[in-house]
Amino acid sequence: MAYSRIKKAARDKLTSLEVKIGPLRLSTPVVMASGTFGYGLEMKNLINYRPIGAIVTKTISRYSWPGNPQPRLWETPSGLINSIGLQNVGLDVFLRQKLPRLRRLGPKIIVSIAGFTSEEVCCLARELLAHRVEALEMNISCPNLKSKNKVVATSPRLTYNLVSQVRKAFPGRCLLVKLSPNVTDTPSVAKAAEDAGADGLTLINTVKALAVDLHNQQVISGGLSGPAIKPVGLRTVYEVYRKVNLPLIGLGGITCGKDALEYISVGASAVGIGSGFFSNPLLPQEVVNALLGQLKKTGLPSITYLIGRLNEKKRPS
Amino acid sequence: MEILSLKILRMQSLGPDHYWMELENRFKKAFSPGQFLTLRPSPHIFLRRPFSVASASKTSLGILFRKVGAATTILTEKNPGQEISALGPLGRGFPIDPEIKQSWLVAGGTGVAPLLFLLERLMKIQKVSFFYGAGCQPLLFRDLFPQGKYRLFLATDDGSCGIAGPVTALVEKQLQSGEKPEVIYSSGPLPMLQAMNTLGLKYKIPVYVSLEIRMACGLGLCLGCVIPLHQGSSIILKRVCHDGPIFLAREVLWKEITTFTRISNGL
Repeated sequence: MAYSRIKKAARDKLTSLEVKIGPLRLSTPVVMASGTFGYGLEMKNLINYRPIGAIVTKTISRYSWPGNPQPRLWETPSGLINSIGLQNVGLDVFLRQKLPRLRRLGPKIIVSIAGFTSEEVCCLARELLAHRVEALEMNISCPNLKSKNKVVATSPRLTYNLVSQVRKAFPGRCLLVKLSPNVTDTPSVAKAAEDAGADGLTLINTVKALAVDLHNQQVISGGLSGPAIKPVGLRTVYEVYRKVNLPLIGLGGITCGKDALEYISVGASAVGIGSGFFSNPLLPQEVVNALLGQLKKTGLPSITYLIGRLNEKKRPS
Repeated sequence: MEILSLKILRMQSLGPDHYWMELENRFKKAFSPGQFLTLRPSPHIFLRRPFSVASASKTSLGILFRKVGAATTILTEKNPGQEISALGPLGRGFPIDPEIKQSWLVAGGTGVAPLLFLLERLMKIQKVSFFYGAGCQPLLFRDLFPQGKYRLFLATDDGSCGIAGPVTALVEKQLQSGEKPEVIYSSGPLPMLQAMNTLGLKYKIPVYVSLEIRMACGLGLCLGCVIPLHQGSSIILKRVCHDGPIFLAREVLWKEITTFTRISNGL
């Protein structure tokens, strides 16, 4: 197993921190998670983009969405509940105003997409393909959409149907699917996405949560992120890695380089940084430093050798 | 904007639950009045906390804050010499029109912070009146006011200093006397800002307010602090952290934000 992995890394000529997510080659395994890095442009004056392998944009819909009313945020002792509701500028403004500037930044661009119908999602995929977008992330797991429709990622069947349709609309390029921890069995949904032709999976979206504000006599429901959910994310990556053969982007509660190494060791090919960036904008650089440090310490030539090291049991190569 | 580890130069208790903190100023870009920074009091508190800058010189930044929850409690335990992670300058400051000759500043409680900085700037170039209201006399932080030429009107809820009653009543009395500024800048609790908006509309004076809301990133990324504003005949969404925190009061949809600003205290 480990040997086949080394052979694969050698075949792909991946050096040092380079990783591959399907057809997408990233210079580092650090991915800025959707919804926590705006459209990717806002941080130009604050941070260096070089440690970042890819930026996942804020989720884009066909037409702009206003998102949810306030309150949208609630901090918990080690996390953050948010209920933004996928507020976004819509496809046209994104293509006109955001995408051209995004492409000049350096990191690979993964466009996160969502819609209320499969036609809407497929239309997004076709339009983005026409604009030569290299990678899509299907957000089928947002817990904050107030819709009568079921969250797609709660059902293997719905996931299979939607992913196979989008696959047809977006052929030959990297198609990622972001999955939910709010199900009994994420691996079965992951398998459905794999069978439908996804190139990789992003694990996990936020965990459904609720805060009670006794002072103002109201409740705030939303999705929990931050250190509180790291064990949930690790467990999900660990289980999905054993069930499917796709590269995984692991995220949930990464706030230091060690967290990133943990995700990689249980099977993540890349790691997502989400709300951890809010408290520490230097986190991408810190993760890269930690990964380089680990390579130096172990004498390994590529980070890919560390992927799934603590989860090597059953996976067929 | 920059993220720096800054040394705490001074930490002083101002009275019940209120503190004055001074940080060394190593930011390359100067703060303008109304802008803020975020601090991370401890690695055990997940999110950074936003604070208005109350004074800024080339070497130091002053922050006035109230102890309201775990993060600000940790902040009060800091000592001079310790370092703290600071990120700024953030947001857009108060618009200052060089043509304007007379402005009023209206502050309520801890909301005085950004207006102290604005006062320092404006009193050199305009005729300034400062209206300041607080719960009681010990909460009127007179020591923080700069020396210079401006008029100061005081109000307290219990009448222990200045007139008894809300600061907005003091403002209205002055307006009724026929005096009228070209612009009003205001910062304080939400009901006070709403009252200032009403006065601004009644007397046809533009009122700029500094809004407070829960923020996660403070950088314009997360869209957690978004509020609706009137713009012409349509309603648009703006980020308090990035497009604000200063807004023209008459453009704010006050009803829609009433429910959330009341919860801006807590952890």
